[in-house]
Amino acid sequence: MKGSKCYGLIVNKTVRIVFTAVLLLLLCAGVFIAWYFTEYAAFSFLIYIHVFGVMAIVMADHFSFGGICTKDMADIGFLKSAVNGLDVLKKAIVTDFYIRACSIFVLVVAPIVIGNAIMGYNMTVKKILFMFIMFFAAFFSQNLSVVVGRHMTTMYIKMMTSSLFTMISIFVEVIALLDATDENGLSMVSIILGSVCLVGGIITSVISFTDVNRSLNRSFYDQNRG
Amino acid sequence: MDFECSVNGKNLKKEFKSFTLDIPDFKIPRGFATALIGENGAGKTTLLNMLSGIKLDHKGEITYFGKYTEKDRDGKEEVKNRIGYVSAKSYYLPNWTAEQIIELSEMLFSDFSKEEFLSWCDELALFEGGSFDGKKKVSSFSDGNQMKFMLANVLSRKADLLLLDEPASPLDPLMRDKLNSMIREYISKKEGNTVFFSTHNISDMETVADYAIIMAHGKIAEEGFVEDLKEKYILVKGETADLEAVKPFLYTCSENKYGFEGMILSKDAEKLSGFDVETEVPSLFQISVAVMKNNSRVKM
Repeated sequence: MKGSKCYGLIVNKTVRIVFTAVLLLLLCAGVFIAWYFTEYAAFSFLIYIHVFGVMAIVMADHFSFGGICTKDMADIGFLKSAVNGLDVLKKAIVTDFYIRACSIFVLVVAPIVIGNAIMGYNMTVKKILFMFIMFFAAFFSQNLSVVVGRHMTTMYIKMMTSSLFTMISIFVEVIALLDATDENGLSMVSIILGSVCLVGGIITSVISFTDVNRSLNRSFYDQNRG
Repeated sequence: MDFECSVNGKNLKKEFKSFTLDIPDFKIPRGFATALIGENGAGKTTLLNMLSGIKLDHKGEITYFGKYTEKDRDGKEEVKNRIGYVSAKSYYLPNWTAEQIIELSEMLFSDFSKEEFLSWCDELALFEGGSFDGKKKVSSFSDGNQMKFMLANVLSRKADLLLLDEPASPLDPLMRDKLNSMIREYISKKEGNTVFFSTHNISDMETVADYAIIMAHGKIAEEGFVEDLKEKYILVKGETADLEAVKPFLYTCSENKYGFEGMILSKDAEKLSGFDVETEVPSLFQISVAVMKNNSRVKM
């Protein structure tokens, strides 16, 4: 069975519609900001859009998979009573990862690219690098928020935790922005922070799969569970 | 009495820090409703989780329908689909809607019938106003309605064996009566259909139970066809004055201001001749309480 089909079965339609609507809204706001403000002033406002994007992703994950890695939730007797039940869930989680990654990529890149095209600015190497640092930071913080959030069942605690993780993204993006406005171009600090976020993003991506797999596999065994 | 079994277990064992489930010989007779009875913490859910494959960490062997192993149960659709499982705890993801569960059931279980499911929903009055609301989240149902929803879900398949963990607990008395008739109907629907359910509501489920397994501290303390158990035990009532003389022969005994009431094994019944006592055929509830009392750590 295809991952998209599994995703459609596991994640309910309302969540999908609301999430897409919120994402489009944020995207429009991002494009508007990129068009309305001057080049770098727009970037500082776009940071807020990324934060809202991460929050929307965390909420969508809560309403789709809840605390899937918590002890009780991972039992899911209904899925376990079917031969392919857990496979469907795992495929849905993989698809969800791609959707999250693409969403945050589009949310970061599209306003800058579209804004630049409208305003006739040049897409310099510095700007492209800056854009990717922003993406890595936002991607890392949303991944971290989702991975940790899947161990919690209460939404407001999840939101509080993820707001702490978005600080990482804000911090990196602000440093990179200050750097980007400097005439000398991006410093090593921004490049290093961006690289750390990239590595963090890759590690949390791997963890987001292994963690769910481990929780589901462990749910078959009472002794190994805390 | 010889009978075919839907499930056989040999040397089933599962150890926890302060509890061990240890059942050398386990059987669920085919074509009957079997009640699993026991105190809290006796091991009922642990046993049901082992049988349904929700938990895999146990020793011993379980055989399904006389020939299939646990590996077959988990790997072969034709075996897994013959087993329907319902548990009140963590069964669906909380945000799933009724429509989503229908779609998932159609995808996961080739024998699931949407028409039958909708007909069960209607029969069990699951939705207000009688019309099916596909957008309703399962977590927004009351506990009783969630159980009805799960039962409707599992009964809409063509499973041969139903494993139900405490199906009666969240239900009201009327619905418990309905559950009894649903189980009866399911068993008579197809030869070999079998139901295995755990329950604390013994009196409510008594009419449907053909076979009973009474557990205590992870072991089977008593089991048998209900009619046989009713012949094995006798309910005794008498005056307080006779209690001291009768007590050594009784299996269990309780005293009240009108006299005493106790249970005696039929083989010991003749020991009561000469005493002014009344005897009655006990109910499954009375037998279960007596067996549990005899094995309980609770100070009565």
